[in-house]
Formats: sequence, C-alpha cells, structure tokens
Amino acid sequence: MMIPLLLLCIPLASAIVIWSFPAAFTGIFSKLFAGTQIISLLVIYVLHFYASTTTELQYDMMWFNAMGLHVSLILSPLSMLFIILTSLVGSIIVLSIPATTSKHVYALVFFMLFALQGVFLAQDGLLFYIFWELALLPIYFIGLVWSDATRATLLKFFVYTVLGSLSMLLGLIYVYLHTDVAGAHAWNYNAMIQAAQALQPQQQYFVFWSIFLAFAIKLPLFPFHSWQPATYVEMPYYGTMLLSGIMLKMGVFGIIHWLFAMVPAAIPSVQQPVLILALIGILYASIIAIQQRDYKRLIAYASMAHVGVIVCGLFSAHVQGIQGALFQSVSHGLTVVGLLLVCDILEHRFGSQTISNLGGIRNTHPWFAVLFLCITMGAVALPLTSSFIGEFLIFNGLFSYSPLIMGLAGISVILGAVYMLRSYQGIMLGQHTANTTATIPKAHYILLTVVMALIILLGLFPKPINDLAASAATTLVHTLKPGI
Amino acid sequence: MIALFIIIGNGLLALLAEIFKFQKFIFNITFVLLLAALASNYWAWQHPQAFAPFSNMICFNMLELVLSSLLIAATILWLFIQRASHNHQSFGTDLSSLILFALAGGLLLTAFQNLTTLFIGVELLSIPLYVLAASHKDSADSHEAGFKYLILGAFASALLLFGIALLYGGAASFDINAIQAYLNAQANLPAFVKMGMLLLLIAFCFKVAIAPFHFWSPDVYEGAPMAITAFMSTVAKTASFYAFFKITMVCFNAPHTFWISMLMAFAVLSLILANTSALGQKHLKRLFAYSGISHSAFLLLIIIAQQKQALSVNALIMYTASYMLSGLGAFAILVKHGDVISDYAGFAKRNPTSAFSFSVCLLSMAGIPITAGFFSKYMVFVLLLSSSVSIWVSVIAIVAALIGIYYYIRLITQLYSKTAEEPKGPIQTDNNWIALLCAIALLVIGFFPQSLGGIFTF
Repeated sequence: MMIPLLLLCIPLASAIVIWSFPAAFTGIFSKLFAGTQIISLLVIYVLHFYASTTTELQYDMMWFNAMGLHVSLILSPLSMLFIILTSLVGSIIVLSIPATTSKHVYALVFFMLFALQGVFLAQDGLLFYIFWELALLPIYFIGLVWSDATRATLLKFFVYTVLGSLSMLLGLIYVYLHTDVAGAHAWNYNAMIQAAQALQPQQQYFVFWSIFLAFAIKLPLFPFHSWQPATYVEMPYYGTMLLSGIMLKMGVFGIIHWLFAMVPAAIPSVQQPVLILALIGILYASIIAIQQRDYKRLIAYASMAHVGVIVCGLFSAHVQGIQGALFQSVSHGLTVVGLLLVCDILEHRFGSQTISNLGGIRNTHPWFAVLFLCITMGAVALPLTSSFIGEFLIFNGLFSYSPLIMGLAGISVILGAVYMLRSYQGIMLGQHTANTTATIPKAHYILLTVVMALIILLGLFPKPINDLAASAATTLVHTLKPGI
Repeated sequence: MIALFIIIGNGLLALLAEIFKFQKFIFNITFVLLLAALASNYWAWQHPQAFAPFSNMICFNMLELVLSSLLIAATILWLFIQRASHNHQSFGTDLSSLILFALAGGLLLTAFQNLTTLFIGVELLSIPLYVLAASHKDSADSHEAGFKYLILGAFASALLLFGIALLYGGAASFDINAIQAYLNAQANLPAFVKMGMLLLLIAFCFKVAIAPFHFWSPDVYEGAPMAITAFMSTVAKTASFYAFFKITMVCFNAPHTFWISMLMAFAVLSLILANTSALGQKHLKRLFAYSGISHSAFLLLIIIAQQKQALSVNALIMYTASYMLSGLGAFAILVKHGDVISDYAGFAKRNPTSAFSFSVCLLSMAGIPITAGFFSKYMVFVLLLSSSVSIWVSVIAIVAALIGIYYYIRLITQLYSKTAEEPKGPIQTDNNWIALLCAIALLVIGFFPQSLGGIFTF
C-alpha cells in the first residue's frame, strides 16, 4: 500500500536532508542516499516476483476534492521498468557529481529524481502532468546557476518544453471533461482511458496530436529537436546525464502508458507520419554526428539517433517492437550515461572534449581504454551488449510493419558504428597528443566498470528487464489490438 | 459586516490622529484593527446569520466573507510592504486614512446588493487612489499618473452611472435581485436596457484594465509611488473584479447573453496585447502592469465560461488569492530594489533568499506546478473547456500563458545570471520576510489546494 509512496518520498526526503544540513555532510549524505536508491530498486525488483497482492503496489489519497484530484500511484511492470532505470542511473549520476559541487546541486538532483519517479508512478492524469512539469524546474535551475549555459539556450529549452506541456494539458483536460464516473468527472487512469476510447475518431485524432506534441518535444523527435544539441552541450555533465539518461524516457513512458492506452484507434493513421519523422531524425542526427569534432555534441546527436530508433520500435505497434523499445530505454540510459562519464573524464582530466586535441590515451591508460571500448560497443549495439537485444527486438517489430522502414532504420546501426568507432579511434588510438600525466580517480573507474558490467550483463542475461518489458508490451498490445 | 464598520472606524480614527497627535501609533493601530476585522469575518463565518442591513443594500454571505477576508489579508501584507519601501511616505494620517477608505470601498464592492452601493464602492475605492497615485510630490511622473487616473477613472464612473440609470429606467429598481428578475421576465429587452448593461460592463472593463480600455494602466502604475502601485495592482483590481463577477453572475445571467461575445473579444484582445507588450518592457512596474492586464483577462474568462456551479467561485477565490499573493511578493522585492530590470542582473548572488521568493512569485504568475498559480490557471482552463465557448479561446489562452512563461522565466534567468562586474550595492542579506512569507504561502496553497480551492461545494 505504502510502497509507491515510499519510493516517491525517499528521493524527496534525501533532497530536503541534504539541503538542510551544512555542506560538510553533503558528501556522506549523497553517497548514503545513492545507496538507498539502489537498495530500493533491488527491493522493488524482488517484490515484482514475490508480491502477493497487487494492492500493495497501489496508493491512493484524496488531494484536491473539489477538482476530483487524487494522489494515485501504481507500480505496474511498466513503471517498475522505468523506476529501475531511474534509481540505477540516478544513483550513478549522483555518485559522478564532482565532490566540490554545492549541496544545492545534490538537493536539486534528488528533487528531480523525485519528480521523475512521480511521472512513472502517477495513475492520475493531472498528477502525471504536475510531475511532468515539476521535473523541468530542477534541471532548469541547475543549468541556470551551475553551468555556463547561455540565457538563450536555457530560455529556449524551458519555453519549448512548456509549450509541449501546455498542449498536453489541453488534451488531458479535454479527455477529463468527457469522463463520467457516477455523474462527475474523474482524473483517474481507468476513467480517462475509458472516456478517451469512447471518443469520436476526429476527437481522438485531436487528443493524440495535442498530447503527442509534449512527448515529441521531450524525446526529441524531428522537427522538434532544435533545443536539444545546445542544451545537452552546455549543461554540466550530471545535467546532461539526467536529461538524456532519464528525462527523455518520460516521453517513452508517456507514449506507452497514456497515449497508446487512451487513443488506440488513432494509432494506425498516425503510425506512418510518426515513423517517417523518426526515420528522418535518425538519419539526420547520425549524419551530423559523423561530422562532429566535439565529443559531447556528438553524444547529443547520437542520443537523438538512438531515441529515433526507440520511437520506431514504439510506433511499429507490434509486441516485439514495443518490448524492444522498453528494453532499449534502459539500455540507452546506461550507454549514454557511460559515454557522458567518459566525456567528463576526457574534459576534466585530459583537458579537452575536442577529438582532435586528444589521442593515444590507450597507451597510458589501458583499463580506461577497455572500459571506453566496451561502452562504445554498447552504443553501437554489438551483440553481447544490452543495446543489441533492444535493437534486435525493435527491428523485428518494425519488419512486420514495413521492411523498407526497417531497412532505413537499420542504416542507423551502420552510421552509428561510423561515428562511434571513428571518435574512439581519434581519442584513444594513434599519436600521443593528450595530457599523458592525467590521473583518473578510482571513483570514476568504479562507476565506469559498473556501467560496463551492466551493459554486458544485460546483454548476456536480458531476462530480468526483458520480463518486465514483455509483460508491459503484451498488456499494451491487447488494448491496441481492438483498435487495429 | 462588522469588518466593514471596523475598517471605516479605523479610517476615521486615522483622521483623528492628525488632530490628537498620535500619528506614530497609527501603523500599529491599523494592523491590530485589520486583524480584528479578519477575526470578525471568521466569527461571522462560524455564526451565519443572513442579515441584510440597510434595506438590502449590503449583504455579507459566505462568499462575501471569504472574498473580503482575502482583501483585508492582502492589505495587512501591504502595510508591511509600504513600511519597507525605501523612500516611503511615513504612515501618517494621509496615507492610512485614504488606504482604509479605499479598502472600505473594496469591501462594499464585494458585498453590494444595490447598484447605488456599487457606485459608492467604486468611488470610495478610486478617489483615494487618484490622490495617492499623485502623492509623490517631487515626481512629475507621479502627478501625470494621478491626473491620467483621475480623468479616465472619472470617465469610467460616468459611464457606470449612465449604465445604472438606463438599467433603472428599464427595471424600476436599483436592487440587483429585482433587476435580475426583470431581465429574466423579459423576452426581448428594450434597446436602452441593453445599452445600460453594455455601458456598465465597459465601465468595469476600464476599472480592471481590460483591452481596449487598458491604456491608463501601464502609465499610472509606472508613475505612481511603488507601494501605491502595489496596492492598486493587487487589492484595487481584485476588489473591482469581485464587483464585476457579482454583476455578471448574479444579475446579468441567462437568458440574455449578448454581452458574452463582447467580453470574449475583449478578453482575447487583452491576452494578445498584454502579453506581446510585456515582452519588450525594461521597467518592472510596466511589466507587471501588462502582466496584470493578462491576469485580468484570465479572470474574465471565468465570467465568460458562465458556469453556475461551485467551480466558478472556487476558481475566482483561488485565482485572486494567488494573484494577490504573487503580486504583493513581487512588489515586496521591488520596493526595496527598484524597478529597472537591468539592475537585477546577478540579484541571486547578493540576496539568495529574496531571489528565491521572487522566483516563486514569478513561477506562480507563470502557472508552473507546484505553486498556487498552477491550480488557478488549471481551474480556469477546466471552466473554459467545459463551457460552450469555442476551443480557440482556450488555445489563445494557452498561447498567452506560454508567452507569459517566456517573460517570467527570462526575468528569473536575469536574477540568477552571472555578472562579470562587481555587484551593485553592498552585499548584505536582505531580510525581506514579507516576500518570503508570500512565497511560502504560494507553495503551501500549491501543496494543499483544497484549502482555498475547495471551500464551496454547492
């Protein structure tokens, strides 16, 4: 009963504790709370297999009676998948923040984890929206105060995201006003799904596009991506990790949990345009990534390309495609965080994130080279890494929709190999030009090893995540099938 | 009802302070008496006796008790803001009596049952403000502000009076219930009665600064002394709006709804004009004037939606409470630090707590969760979408909200920006507890929206 509430309160309590205590305690507390995140993720994973009744995984409390708003949380297999991602990647991010950072940053990061977990747990339409917008505030303030991001970048990021959110609010309120629970309107999940599915096709179309705009901006999907490269590059590393590792998965979750469930009848008619947009995004982002000289920018574009593949998997509306998209969400979270950790080390220890200024690091830091190579292979989706499982399932699903689209999306694998391997070669191999006396702290080695281990482990034993993904995908496709 | 007497008595007492030389104590006396007024409202809430004194001229039912309490609470906060303003007028007889009479006018505007009381309330609210807007004797801007406000306000009052006269000509009574009965009984209204209704509504649009009658607002707000602008933009505008709400919802309701499309056009025009004008402002007083016009337009959307259930009333309470709190919080910062936007670069380094309070107030104005402003905007959208108003009005409202978010966030970015040069002024922590109080109140209401947004359930 209280488990979802506890899951939500732990990061919030962590944020408040870190903020209230003097700065000397921040180091200890941050490690402690990162540990609690990992413990909570293991606990809920065990629960998934041994939970006796589903009532333990639900929580409901009246909040704003006059507007029919409840604090309603549920821990379904789908949300469990994303909570595992949030806790895991979140703790890695917290542990990777440089020790000299102000305690306010740690508090903001934990507050963001609270808001992100709220998005994944919310069963109440307006509560989902509130957490969605709330997650934007900490990352905005992190970018504002603790980075050199320009005002233009931050403003564009904030206003563009809120544009999507407001459009989503319009769609959600529209559906809310069509709900009918004992004569009154209700925000709860089942009522909203029922009401939305009962709408006329024209209305469903409107609801789809107004809500999808928010997710398209968040992911980002071409052509709503113009905020992404600048924001990813100018944020501090932990900010970019939060954005690309977890925040964009809010979009994936929203599409599956809310959009597909609410308007399944609209999906067949929107599949093609969305898949085409995703394809254009993949090819566009990959080609630009190949030309990048700045490694962080390259990672930003690579992330856009990978997200395009995830969207292709989602909109194939095929059980394996969706399962692959879910699996790939977790895997992409791990690989992109790994790549950003490497980029962080390159910039702060070796002095530059421009590929041409680096080179030959393999000779002086062999273990770093191994870790970097494994994470790169994870990004390229080599078999034995987790990304391969996800991409294989996605392409399988895509093939049953359209072999042509699958072929074009498959080009992304080749292009991905090009830019990832070329940048690896430029950074690690070849002539010595990098700072050879750099020392990488043990903590960073440990984090990178953990990420690499997880990528390979999930590649060899995907069952833990795959089970959750499969059960979520099958329940979803049952709701989609009547529409198709 | 008793609150009204307390406030008027307080005003008279303040006048006597000049004669009997206790001007030093008038601030404390006012503070205590306003708290007493709030307490009397609370007592009246617990002991509801529907009494309509003075031949049905004023009536303080539950809704009026809540609304007048909001106005009184805002004035209490304002007292402290005025005291903290850096070139403030001392709180002697002039200022205190005028403000208290203005507040009394505001209370009359919430509780009127008769159009003559409405007129008295409008004049009682506006005339002290005409004087106070011009009260900064050394500033030509202040004189200009007072003069503009006087001329345009008098013009609006004349329109109001003419509208009241025409309505009386049709309904043969000033009482709003009698007028409502008359309007309901007529299948076709005579043209002069329609004219009267329209004139009345236009006069209200002047008072709450809705386009195209808003042109006085930025100039008057900019010229008037800072604390007076704070009072005008929060308490005075809200009180006028309560009267607007009462007239339209109680008196002018169905079946004659020809005036709704006119108000809809005004609201859409205000939203577009106000938000686009606010984008280019370099002075915060003007920016808040335009943002106030945008908020008035949102409040007008509550009227346009014409929903009769508790939702309209709850939305009104929530929106005006969050608007007044965020406005007072913002002005609490402005009175200490001036109104030029470029002075606020790097503000957060000098005054982190004030920057936090200011940011929360701005986020509430923008309508970001989890402040009170979010729930206010959300309730307005639900009202709009569940009415028969075209969906394009909601879309325009959303675009306007988005433009608003842009300039509010731009201001927050300015507050937290890193400046290369030395910060202006001594680096001291600014004990701006009023702003912090407003910010915390906004967050608390945002966390517990049921407290203000769920009072009425009829």
